[in-house]
Amino acid sequence: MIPIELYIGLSAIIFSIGLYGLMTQRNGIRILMSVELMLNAANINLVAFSSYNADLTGQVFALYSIALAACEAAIGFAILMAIFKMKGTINLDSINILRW
Amino acid sequence: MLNKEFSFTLMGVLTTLYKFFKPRILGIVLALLFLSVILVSVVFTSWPAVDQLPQNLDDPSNIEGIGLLIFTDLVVPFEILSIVLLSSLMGAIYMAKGDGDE
Repeated sequence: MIPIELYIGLSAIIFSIGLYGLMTQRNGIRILMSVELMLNAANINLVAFSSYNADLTGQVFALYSIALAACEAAIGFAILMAIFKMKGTINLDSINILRW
Repeated sequence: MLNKEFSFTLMGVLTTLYKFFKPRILGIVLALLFLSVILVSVVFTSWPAVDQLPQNLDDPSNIEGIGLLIFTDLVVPFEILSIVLLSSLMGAIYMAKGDGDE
């Protein structure tokens, strides 16, 4: 039986990759992909703890979390499409329309 | 990464490495620090876990249990999630549609 630390370590590694991409990339779509990586790392944790504690609630909440990730991706791409229509670029360094 | 004017001299390699790492080194260091903190705290924690994974040999899937949980105990977040999905879909379509001229 695989120890649970390996699952949590895999989740931490994937989360760190997502964090690195979120901090370094300047393309909007790449940042959305990094956010998806971080959400899926959380899903791995949910499923691992659910399976190792013999309680199915975590897997149900992983399903809910996947649906919320779909919502977030749809809204994010819609915002990026609106910004691209307005500015002609999705490079986030050149977008400051929300700056105070 | 794959520059066209890549040269295999020492200065060329060093310049390429410098250009690759200069905009990324802060992100790499922060992500590695975060990963080391998380990994140390994961390794030195005793996680509560069952000794043997529960397995029903007649029906090894847990789809039935998940479905029962969704429609009995966790039905309120399920309904809330349906409203969230609907509203986010409407918002995404409204933002992506534009003025409706084209």
